[in-house]
Amino acid sequence: MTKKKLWLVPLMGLALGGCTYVQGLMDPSINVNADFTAYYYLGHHDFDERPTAEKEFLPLTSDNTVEGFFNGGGTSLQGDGALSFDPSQPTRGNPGGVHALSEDKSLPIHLGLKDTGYDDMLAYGETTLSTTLAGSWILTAEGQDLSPYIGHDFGKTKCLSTVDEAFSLGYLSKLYNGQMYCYGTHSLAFVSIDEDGFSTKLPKTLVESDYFLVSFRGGSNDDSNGGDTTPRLVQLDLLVDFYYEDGTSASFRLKDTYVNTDNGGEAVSFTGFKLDGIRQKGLIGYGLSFENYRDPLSEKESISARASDDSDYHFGLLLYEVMFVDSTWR
Amino acid sequence: MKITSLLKKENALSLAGCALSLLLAFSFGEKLLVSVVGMILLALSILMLLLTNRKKTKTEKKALYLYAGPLLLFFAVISLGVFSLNSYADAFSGIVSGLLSLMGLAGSFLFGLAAREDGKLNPWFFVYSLLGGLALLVLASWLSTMILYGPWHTLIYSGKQYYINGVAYPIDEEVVFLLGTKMTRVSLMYAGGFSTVLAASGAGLMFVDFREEKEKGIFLSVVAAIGLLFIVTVPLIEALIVTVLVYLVALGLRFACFKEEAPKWLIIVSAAVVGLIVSVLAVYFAIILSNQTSLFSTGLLRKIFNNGRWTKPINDIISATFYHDGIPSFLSLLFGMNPYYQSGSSFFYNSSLWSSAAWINTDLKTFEIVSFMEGGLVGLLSFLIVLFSTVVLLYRLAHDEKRSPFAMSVAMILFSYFVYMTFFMDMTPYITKGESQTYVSPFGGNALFAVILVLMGLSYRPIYFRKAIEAEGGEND
Repeated sequence: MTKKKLWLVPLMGLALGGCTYVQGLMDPSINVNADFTAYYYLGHHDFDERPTAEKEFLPLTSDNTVEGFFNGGGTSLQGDGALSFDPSQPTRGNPGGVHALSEDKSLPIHLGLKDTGYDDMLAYGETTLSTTLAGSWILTAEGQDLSPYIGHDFGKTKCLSTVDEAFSLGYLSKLYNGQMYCYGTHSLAFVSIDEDGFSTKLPKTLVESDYFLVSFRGGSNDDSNGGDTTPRLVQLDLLVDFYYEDGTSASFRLKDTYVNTDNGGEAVSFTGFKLDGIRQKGLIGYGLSFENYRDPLSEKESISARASDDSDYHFGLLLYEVMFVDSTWR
Repeated sequence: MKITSLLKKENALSLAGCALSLLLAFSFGEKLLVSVVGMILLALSILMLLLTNRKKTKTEKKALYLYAGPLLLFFAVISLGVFSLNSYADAFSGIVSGLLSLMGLAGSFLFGLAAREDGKLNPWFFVYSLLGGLALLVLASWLSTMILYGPWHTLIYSGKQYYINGVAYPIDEEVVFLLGTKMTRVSLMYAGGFSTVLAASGAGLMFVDFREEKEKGIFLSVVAAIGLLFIVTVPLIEALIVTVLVYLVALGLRFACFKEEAPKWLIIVSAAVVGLIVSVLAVYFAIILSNQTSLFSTGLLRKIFNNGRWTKPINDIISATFYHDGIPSFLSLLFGMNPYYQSGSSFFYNSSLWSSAAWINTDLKTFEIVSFMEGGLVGLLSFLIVLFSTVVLLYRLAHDEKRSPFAMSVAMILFSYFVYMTFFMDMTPYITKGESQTYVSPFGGNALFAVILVLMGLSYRPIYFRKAIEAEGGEND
């Protein structure tokens, strides 16, 4: 290298600056606050803008469920992991009783995880998702010894940032850090999306994975019921897009997914599907959005799942975790 | 001077000292390494002093003891005081670490003195080693900072946050700095200390004759440029302020004529400044010791002692040092704070989650007050005496008739360091969220302080009994 060219070395360093901490910077408005509407993650589409609207949806056939995917969780995560919703025990002050989609309010609706072959989510090591080790690690994660969690806590063991450090950086690292619940950290923990959702490039390319998993809950700012939000189940069609390095993509519709809504930060729902028979190799990104949002309150109130709508009330899908479980990356 | 001419048997100790100086300054930012290298330097300097032929006169010795005595007392109290001994899980670890720290600090200073007494090697070589080590540390950190954040990130991304494992951090409040074998995210003020010292060394260039001392000129230009590069490309505003001040002072010295004896006006102004500092401290202590802290909340006293930016942390630390759970402790007042007893102090922050370490959350910027926190009144007074001696030494160095580049460079480095650490010290420099704040002492095991100590030793010249020493025909300048 000639002397003149040596000057390029620091310049190369400067050029590299664009791909590190400065990625995915956000305004500092995100505080411990339950108001999801202030933190909508809007307009973030690394791939085509909501391509699922026109695309053909591939069938989900690997799960031994009627729907082809699993959908569990609820106010109680012990037992078989069914999406239980007990009307007699609303978790928030709700004099009007619980609203549910079903005419028959004697839920629980059973779409249990155990029966569908996701046992590890219910009992990983010595803990279940509900008795997972203290959630305090999230506030002190940096520099903290996480080894007590690995192999014992489902979230921290299986999350993408544990699989590969590349997933630790950026705003969406909230979805890869193993925090599957609120743990009292509210908007510090969730990524709030509206119908349009987002699509994102991943820092690595997938080689293989066992199943795809999303942990979420619903949130609305409907306070018409005595100034408090109403715990309820809503339904929507979750749209999942996978993007591949050769420019192709695949889309899946998780029809009528139940979402535990306004029922506290620990009452999350899970959904996902096995990846057998679905192309995994070369996956470089994914997208999440939804449509066909149905809410038992929507008949009475005008609750919109689109952030841009001029509505008094909004619904947001609050994502806690996205996992490609037991995956390898390159 | 050719390198081969240096490689002689009699230079062996000095050359080893040079290598160790470089390691001391670079030190990977590791506390333990700083103390261990300082300890080896202690052994080396004892050897060098034993082998030196030059004998000191009685008065010279007395002058040296007056200068070094308070410094050694300061080392002892911050290494083996209440603060240090209670910073470890058990008493044994506290004592071992304290002794290591004491030997490291004493070794750094004594080595500077020994290298100067030994005189076999031009003192510039030690300056080269020390500044070279610091420059390596700063250069590596600067390169990493540029790669991770890009230039001027504190301006371009002002007010933005980035995320690690889902936890948000303000991007405009940090850079990365080498610590151990990895780059660690630290505060701007922490990185600023190292960069300022390097950049300030360039002020010596004003006193270098480039025709005759080309090597010195080039070296100082390069190391100062590395410091300035870090300061300008982040930018480190506090460091920039101090660096500009140092260059202005150097410029003034370059063209000012000094009398050997300090003029009357300077003595009067200095006495007034010292008097003011002593009065303010006296009022602080009087109010806190008489437990009349409510006075801090009223009228003029509130504006002076509780202004929330600079004096409130001072106020809080002094108070926290004296009170153990609201009960006065004269042991702590004399020999330093017990870091684990500060939860219930009536005047102290009462952080709901981390009250047991509440003192660590004060934004203290003044290392003189740390000398009180770590060493009590004994620590503070001995440190203030050291500071006074250093100011006189700086005056002597600046007065140096020859205005030697060596004296001026060292004087500017010392000046920049003391100004920076008085206004912009950071005792919790690592960027963390939650309870895992790490205290970093500006003294024990601190690479920058160790470098300053070697330089203080190297640039020592008698500041007391000068006339008597001259009359005896001893060493003066």
